[in-house]
Amino acid sequence: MWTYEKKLQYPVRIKNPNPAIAKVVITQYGGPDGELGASMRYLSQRYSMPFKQAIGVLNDIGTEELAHLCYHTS
Amino acid sequence: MDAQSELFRKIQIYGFVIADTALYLDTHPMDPLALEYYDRIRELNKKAIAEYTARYGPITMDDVETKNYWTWIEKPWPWDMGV
Repeated sequence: MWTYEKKLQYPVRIKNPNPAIAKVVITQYGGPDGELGASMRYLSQRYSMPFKQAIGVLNDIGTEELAHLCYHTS
Repeated sequence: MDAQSELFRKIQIYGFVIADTALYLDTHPMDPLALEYYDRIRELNKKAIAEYTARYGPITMDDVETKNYWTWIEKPWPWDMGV
């Protein structure tokens, strides 16, 4: 089940608007090798893992990748 | 339904009630009846989770007993039922 905390992992302070860097950040966020894609890959690959250690770590890394979607939007 | 499933079902119900009441409170933050209701269900939920965790193992990582083994990776995961 999904829950969230009112806590940022790493608060980001943007000093100057920078569209070029924004383009990189949005790609890291939702692009083909971004956080969203990474979380979905970890969370689907867990289902084909033969060992409980691998299932557990993929589940927890996938969850962590989902958390990265939060701190990017802060 | 066995005792474990029954207790877990209770926790699922409390979770739904808490989530739904929270939605109402988001838009009605000063409703005293809703606040009291939220409080009451939250207490029932806490008790049920404590009881479940003590008997059957953790629901959240925060409740893992770290004595000598990381029980978090124990099967079955709740979404693996019927596999």
